[in-house]
Amino acid sequence: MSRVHRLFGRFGGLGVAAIVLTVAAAPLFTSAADHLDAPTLGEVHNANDSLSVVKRNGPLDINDLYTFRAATSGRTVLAMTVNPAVNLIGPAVFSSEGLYTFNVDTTGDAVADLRYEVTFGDPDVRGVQHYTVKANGKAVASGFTDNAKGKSQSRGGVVAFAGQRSDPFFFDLLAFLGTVKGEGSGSLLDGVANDFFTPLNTLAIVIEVPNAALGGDGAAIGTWATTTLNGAAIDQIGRPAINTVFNGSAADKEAFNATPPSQQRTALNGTFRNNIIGVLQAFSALDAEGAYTDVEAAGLADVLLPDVLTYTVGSAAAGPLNGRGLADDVIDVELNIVTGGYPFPGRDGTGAITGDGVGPHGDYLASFPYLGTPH
Amino acid sequence: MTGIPHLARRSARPIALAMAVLLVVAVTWVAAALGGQPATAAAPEAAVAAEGSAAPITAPGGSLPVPDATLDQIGRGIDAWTINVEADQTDFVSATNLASLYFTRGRLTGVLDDYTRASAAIERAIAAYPQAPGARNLEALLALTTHDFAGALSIATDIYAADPSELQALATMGDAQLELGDYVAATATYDRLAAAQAGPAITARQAHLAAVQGRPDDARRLAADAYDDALAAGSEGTSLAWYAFLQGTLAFQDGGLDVSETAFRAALDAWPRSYPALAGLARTRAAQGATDEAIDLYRRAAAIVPQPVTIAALGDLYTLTGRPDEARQAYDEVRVIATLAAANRQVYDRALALFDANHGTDVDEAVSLAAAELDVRKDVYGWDAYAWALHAAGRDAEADDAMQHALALGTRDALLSYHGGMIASALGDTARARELLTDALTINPGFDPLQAQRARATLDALS
Repeated sequence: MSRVHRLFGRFGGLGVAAIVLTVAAAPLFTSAADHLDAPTLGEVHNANDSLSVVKRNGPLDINDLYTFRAATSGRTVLAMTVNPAVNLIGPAVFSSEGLYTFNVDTTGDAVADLRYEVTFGDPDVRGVQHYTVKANGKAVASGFTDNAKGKSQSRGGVVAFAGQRSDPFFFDLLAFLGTVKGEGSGSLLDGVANDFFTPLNTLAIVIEVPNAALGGDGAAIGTWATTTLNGAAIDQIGRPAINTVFNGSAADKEAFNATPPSQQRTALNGTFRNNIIGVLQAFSALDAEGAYTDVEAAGLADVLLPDVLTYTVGSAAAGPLNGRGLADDVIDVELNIVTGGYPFPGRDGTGAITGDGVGPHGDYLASFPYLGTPH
Repeated sequence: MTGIPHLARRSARPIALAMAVLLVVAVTWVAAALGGQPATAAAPEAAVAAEGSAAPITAPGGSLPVPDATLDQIGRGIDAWTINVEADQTDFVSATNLASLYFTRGRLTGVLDDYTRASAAIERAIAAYPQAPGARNLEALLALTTHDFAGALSIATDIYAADPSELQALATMGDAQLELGDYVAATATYDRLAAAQAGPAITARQAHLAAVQGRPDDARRLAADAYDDALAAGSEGTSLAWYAFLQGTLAFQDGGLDVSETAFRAALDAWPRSYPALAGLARTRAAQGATDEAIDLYRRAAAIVPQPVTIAALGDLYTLTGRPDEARQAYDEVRVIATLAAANRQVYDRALALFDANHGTDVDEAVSLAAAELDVRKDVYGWDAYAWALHAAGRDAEADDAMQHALALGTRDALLSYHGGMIASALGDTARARELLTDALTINPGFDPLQAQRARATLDALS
């Protein structure tokens, strides 16, 4: 369940109902004495919706992954955000049973050579949790949630933060739902832009590591984030929105989350690759230049799979094709590419939809932990 | 804010005049409640019990039924989603979330204005996306909560017909059918719901239905199961309190006072400021003869949310303990509060009809309110209220017809037996009167402090 999947699942269409009922399930007394307002059904609201899973695993539901150059020279930032609208919907705590992992491939085979694994203890009465970061099994940092200074550098020069932050993501969700999903009256084409994420918070794990740990300046790495519960895959993300945009069925999305990146091109007889090719050709047909050819679509599919966030260590990030900075407008880039904007020979670089019209937030910090303070 | 306003004692002041004051005060109280602090400076002197020697019955300023942290969280959510709603007319997602938070807060605090706000937000979401399932489910729930049962049934039926996986809509359908008195349909709906999904929220509905249908053993077992399952599933706070409240309420109806007391205390353990559980426990303690404790509990409940039923019961205990001035003050408040609420919706109409009938305050109003309710809602307790109002108006033959409907399912509830017995007695059917009054006092000798006395006196006179 990558970012946009959760947008659809949680905020789009059916998802709204589940938020509603989750919130309304608890309070149960009517104002009048002569009838008993029964509890709402909460997460069993809609059996076809994955929200019962999402609700149960909300803190393990990954929103976004970021990989960019740190403010301090010679260092790189890895950040994942989880549990959307955490200030508004649920308790702002990480799962104390699950495992949060930043995977780093330094050899180009989409297999993790370095894993930063983050675990959390039970929240105290104020909701504060202790956390530990391990690099390939060795503890490198620890601290308590919501301590904005993070833990001072410990073994291996790793600095970590975990806690609630302003959600750095920006997206005109309603325009997207209206134009792409046929839900509501919003439009990507009406010139009106509204950033749904303006008032929202998220949980964030931010670690900053020496470039040397990643192979040094100039090394080509791939990063992806995973969450697991008792060893079972819950969520996985490399580049933004790949799973949601390209895999149509819930079954394919679930399977994609559980498939290691190195197997994503070939797994299930190439299902994921075929899904990408199909969606690219369908949406690029909206472009005046016509749909991508089979060869072009397959070429793009082989860039997008394996789904890892490729990055040249030490470079300025330019998401989603070279890392991802907080302010990178990855939605605009992806909308453009998907709707025919990839400049293959004979095509211009303008797709049918070039963006959603909204831009980065103004609350990013110049230094660690980079994500803005919570609303 | 030091007191809920009420009509001056022994005053024939037209209600409209009092309403003007009351509206001001009500707004102030709502503001205080939502702000989480007493609105001391704003308390209009006119609203205070100027000539009453007794302390004000209710002191809602700063009294909140839910923890501040919960209300803070809801308030933050309302602020945030409002930003989006105001920025984007098309944002049905934020509008729906906003509506759900207002709805939630209304259910928690009993402040009816939040339902109006929720309704406005729902309309806005539906304007942007007419098929939005979340907003439409909320619309149905809101209709149910504000007693528009026919409306709730219609909306929920549409949602479920369009998408049979919408189990919440199915549950709302059953709830509306139950309240409308269509027990055959409610049974079928709950059966379908139970076949699709297990869980305490569904078991609790079946318990409620079983009680109405005169299956008290099933009702007791199902209510206990629902509470145990909810507890086992990690339910806590207001949610767990509701299951305990249901168990206590159903137990009280058929006289299980020990179970009732235990259940209401469990509800208060889960949610210490649960005003319905405070009132339920008060009713139970009164039935057990602990009158002083019951008075204290009722006062605490009314201080949190001044519901007419609670204040009326408090007035009855004052009457019973020889405190007529306080009783009259309480009865005056009942009328004002219920009438104010009726200006917006019908949530208190049945309570007011029963109050009028019990106290002989305005029996014509009692009959017309109960008749209007029965027009749209022919459930057991709708027939009962109508029958009792007719009896109070001296129309006992009609009352008897209505009472037959109320007793048709065999619902085991001391209050129903009492009403049936008194009507039979008025009609001179002494055998039936004796039978029903004996039933009432056997089921629960203290089913109502004042009415149980009358039952006993009438039965004695029949013997």
